Amino acid sequence: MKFSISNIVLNNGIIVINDLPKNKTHFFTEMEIGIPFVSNLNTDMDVFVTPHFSVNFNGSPINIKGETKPFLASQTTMMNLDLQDIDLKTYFDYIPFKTNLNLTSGKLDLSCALEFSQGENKDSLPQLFLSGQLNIVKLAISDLKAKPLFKMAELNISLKKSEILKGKININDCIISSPNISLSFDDSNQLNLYTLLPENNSDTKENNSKTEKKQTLPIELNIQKFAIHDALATLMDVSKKEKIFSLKAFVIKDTEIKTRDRRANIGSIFAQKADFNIYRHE
Amino acid sequence: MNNKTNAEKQLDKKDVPAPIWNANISDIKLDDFSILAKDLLSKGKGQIQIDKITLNTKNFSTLPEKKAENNISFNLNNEGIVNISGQTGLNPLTADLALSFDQIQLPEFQEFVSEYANLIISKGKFSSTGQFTTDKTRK
Repeated sequence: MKFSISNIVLNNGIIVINDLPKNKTHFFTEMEIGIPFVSNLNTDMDVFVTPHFSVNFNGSPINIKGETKPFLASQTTMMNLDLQDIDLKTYFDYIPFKTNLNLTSGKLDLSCALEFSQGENKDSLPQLFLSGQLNIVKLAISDLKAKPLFKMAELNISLKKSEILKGKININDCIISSPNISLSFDDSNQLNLYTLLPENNSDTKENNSKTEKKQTLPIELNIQKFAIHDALATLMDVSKKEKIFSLKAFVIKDTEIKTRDRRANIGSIFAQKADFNIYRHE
Repeated sequence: MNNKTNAEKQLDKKDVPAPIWNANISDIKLDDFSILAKDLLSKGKGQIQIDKITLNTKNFSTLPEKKAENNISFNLNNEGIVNISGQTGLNPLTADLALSFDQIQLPEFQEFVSEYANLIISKGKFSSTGQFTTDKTRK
């Protein structure tokens, strides 16, 4: 059936989700959906359909804009996704596995572009490219007793155009600013890191081994720059707090990892001003 | 047509161990590192301080027959100066290093001597130069 439709618009929509088991309410407000033109007439098939979607999700703006030719064999599609100021704490309850952690703060900004195209003939492999920026600020994680475990001022990952289906990942920068890890011993003299892992059961182990068998896609990972600035690790004994490690700067440049060839090439590693303190306790 | 790499062909065969990973690093620079080892059970000073650690390594590789150029220097317990430079290889394990120890304060090691001998080191410095060579391929 041939058709041509213009000016599909939804303005100022609202959706309220009451999540009773988690005792949370989520608000989608200021929702806008627009599809200016879509047609599968032969004369229009090469015209881009340009859908857009924007919404304010719990106070954070989300924007999705796309360009697609859905009726051509190539199904060429480009999509831009922008998320700003997402409060990670709100959504931590929804991670699909159990942890012994609490995420006490953290904001996420994500801006990415997705490009998809199916080959002109049936035998051609589809191509999926991803590029963009991910930024997490003021991340703080504590244990279930509200003792601080990890905090980080900023994580910034800049992804260059990467061919996802072929496992080719190109990262421009991955920069971690001011990570701070707090280690401590509990009353039974056990290091807090050991209590963070949820107890394994046989099902999980079985699932893990199945997943391991499935992971066959070779990965080609290129990282132009990986850097850590102003890292600090502290060990909290029962009596006092001791600094065990601090690092001013750690930079790795020009990394190329190919799992197919089991090879890692690194251009340079530079680290400046690191202090290690080792204590012999009772 | 078979476009598989040698690594993939090996993985296809059952019971064949996967080839080990190889790593190459062109340039490693560590600048101004320090290590403080403190024995909180000790009645005396009970600590070793290694500071101003610098390390420069070029052409580190796990590939066979590859050798890295190294230069390491640090201060030991403030006054002592240690310099190590030369070539090392991982596969096979080889080292050809020039060592230099200068003004190493011996009383700083009193804590560790006391466990084995009733001696008190009241004064003394140690300086030495030498060569350390090891080659696993030589018999």
